[in-house]
Amino acid sequence: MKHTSSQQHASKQIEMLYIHNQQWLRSWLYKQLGCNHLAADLLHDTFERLLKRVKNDVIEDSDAYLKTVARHLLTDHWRKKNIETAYQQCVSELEPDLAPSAEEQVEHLELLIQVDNRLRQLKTDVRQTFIAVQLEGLNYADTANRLAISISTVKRHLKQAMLSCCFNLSV
Amino acid sequence: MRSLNESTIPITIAEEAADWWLELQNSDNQSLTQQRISSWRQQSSVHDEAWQKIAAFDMMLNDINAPQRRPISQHVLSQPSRGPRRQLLKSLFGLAVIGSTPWFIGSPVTHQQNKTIATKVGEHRSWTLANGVEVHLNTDTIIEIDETNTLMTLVLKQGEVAIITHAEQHPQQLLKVTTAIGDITPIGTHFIVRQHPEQIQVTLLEGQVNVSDKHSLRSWTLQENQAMTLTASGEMSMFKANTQTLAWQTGILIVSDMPLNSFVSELSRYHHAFIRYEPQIANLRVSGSYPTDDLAAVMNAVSRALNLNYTKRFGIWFHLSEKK
Repeated sequence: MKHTSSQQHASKQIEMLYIHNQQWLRSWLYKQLGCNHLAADLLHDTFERLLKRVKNDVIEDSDAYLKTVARHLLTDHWRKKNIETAYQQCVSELEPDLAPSAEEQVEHLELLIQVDNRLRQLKTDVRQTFIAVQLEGLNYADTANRLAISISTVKRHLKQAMLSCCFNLSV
Repeated sequence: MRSLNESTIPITIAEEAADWWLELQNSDNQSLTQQRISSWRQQSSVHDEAWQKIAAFDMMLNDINAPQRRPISQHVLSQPSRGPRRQLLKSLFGLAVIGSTPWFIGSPVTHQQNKTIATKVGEHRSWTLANGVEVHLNTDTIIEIDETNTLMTLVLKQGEVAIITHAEQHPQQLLKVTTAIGDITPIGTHFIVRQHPEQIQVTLLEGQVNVSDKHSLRSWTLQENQAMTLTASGEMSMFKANTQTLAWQTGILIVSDMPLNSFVSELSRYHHAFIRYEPQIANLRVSGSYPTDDLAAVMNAVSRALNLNYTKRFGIWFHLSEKK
């Protein structure tokens, strides 16, 4: 990987940020998570994320900015945990001989996290419509009835959902 | 803060691709529609790329909808957060179905949602709601969530909740926390609201909040690291925030120079237990960090520190007394 001098400068900037801030940020993360290992992991992820951003964005040397980045990672972490817990709940309710294999669980869970990440970004009503049609298999009429919207709104929601999930576009 | 698309697809082409996907979903003649999509794709490499993104996501959806996976996927994805008393859909493989209303899936008639989340005594739990708001409930707390497209109201019925909002995520939906005594409106913040029997305490850690008195319609703005109490009769006092207020999220109760009677009150929130003490020791001072989930350990530590005896009966009855 070629390092331009501006990239090197930016990496150095991140390194200084880390040295000056890692202590308070780590203990702030610990307060949120209650676990040292997790706090250390997320601290690491926070600065990794900053390193990836170097090319396009301005990095502020401020507590609030660092916390914002860390907080997004925390949010991701908790959402992932929620998914894992919900998944485990389901599996634990199954009869033993019907339970999915370990590999299957890992694969399915990974997919769910990916899909959930995209669905997250949708507005609540758009998300509801999309889940009703795509996951529950309701037809447009039934979906429209259940959500008290018109069929053309159902179609509009589905289109919006695809634009957001596939292209990161919010219309 | 989404990562930027490496190669951004122009909106018109993205929309066309989405339209084609919709058409394919509803088409009576799949092969004809596929042909037309094929022609559309050939217009340029950007068209082709757009369709590939659609197809990739469509494939993910198909994967999670595989017969064995579908009921689990439905359950997991339709609830953005855990609920405390939920029955699972046992619709797998023809087993009996126990109905459950997943969160934020519209109920038959109305857009408005009315959900309650609660923690048991000694429990603390965290949820991230669909709009990105994080709620962290301390022991013995009940919150009712009321939601429309433009406003989410969290009604704190009892207990204590910490809330972290990301105003930039859903700017079109406001957030409000209401209690019997006053309302709290945050702006991109991290704050705690606690309901005491006759007053509320709001502690602001980051950002800004507005607190308004339900009865007198007065309101105040808290700045970072400020806290205030508001009583039912309208008395208000503001003071510097104590970050120890947040320690419960990690299962720790931190106190400095707190009289024993208050300490016992605080501790009792976390346990179904009776803690009694002799009247003459009520004002002894307690300091330190104590786990909220191990009452015996706390009793041990406190009695050692203050040179007291404690007796334990029936597993739930503790009595602190002077050493004779």
